Amino acid sequence: MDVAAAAMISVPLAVGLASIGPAIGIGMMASHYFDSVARQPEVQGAITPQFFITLGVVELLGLFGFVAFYLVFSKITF
Amino acid sequence: MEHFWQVSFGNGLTVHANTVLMAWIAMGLLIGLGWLATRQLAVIPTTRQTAGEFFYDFCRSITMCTAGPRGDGYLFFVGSLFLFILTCNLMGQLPLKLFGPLLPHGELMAATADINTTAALAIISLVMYIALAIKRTGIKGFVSHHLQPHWLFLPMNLLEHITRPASLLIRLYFNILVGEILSGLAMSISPYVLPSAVIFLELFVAVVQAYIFAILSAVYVGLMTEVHDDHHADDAHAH
Repeated sequence: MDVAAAAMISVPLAVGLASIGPAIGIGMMASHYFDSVARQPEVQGAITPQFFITLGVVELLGLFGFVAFYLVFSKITF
Repeated sequence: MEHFWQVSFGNGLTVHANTVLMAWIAMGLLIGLGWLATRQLAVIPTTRQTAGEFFYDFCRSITMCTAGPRGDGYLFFVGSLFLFILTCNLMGQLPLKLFGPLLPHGELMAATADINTTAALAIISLVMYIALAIKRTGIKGFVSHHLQPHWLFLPMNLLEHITRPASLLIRLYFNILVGEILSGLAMSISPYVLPSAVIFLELFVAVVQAYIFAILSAVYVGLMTEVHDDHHADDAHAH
């Protein structure tokens, strides 16, 4: 297996695997957000900004997979 | 990425002219709309003034929810960041490929799809929160903030000044870049229907990313300008 073929297999795998964790995290976060807003609609204004702050923090982990994609893909010459 | 129109000025200074052009257009748009919205202010607002007040209220809600009334001191900074990033992100969804043949190299795309723009914004955020922290708590308070909760945490507190701007820059840049790549991909698969779905997603991402960048900057400023020594000092300033 040459280097380009290995990169073609591993780079999409890196992006896919890296997005599993944030997907679970954002799913749990959104589910709890909707649960709490449905239970107490008056807290929505207070927790929506916190929801977006956490969204930004969790989502960054998924982008690290894309950083790996970017770094490896710009190095390969086909 | 080979999509940039690079202009060299000698001395090793190279500028991505397409990014600079888009950023200037965004600035001009914001200055023009701001001028329009604040002309002939009245107690009973016109439609223009109401639109301006809506954006002002939204920016103020960002600082209010992170630092309370204390946040009014840096509303100018957070509000400008939010409006500039929002304008840049949304401009990326215009049919800019039509203007591609007018440029000698590269193509027009959102200014925030270039890592130099997002790095500059992240560095502005870093400098701003350090400056506001020193202005509010003094040099002594700024240094003692790094010794919280114990002096052993000093390396970790110093590391935060690198990870905070780095995470801001990576988040914004890669979100917008992924959008550009995704819409290019959709365009090559099916040029008629599929891109509109991607553009719809990208409009949402553009607003959310601008909001997250602004709110995280506000949180960082709010954390750095907290007064630690006296728990009642904050309340005394607020009232």
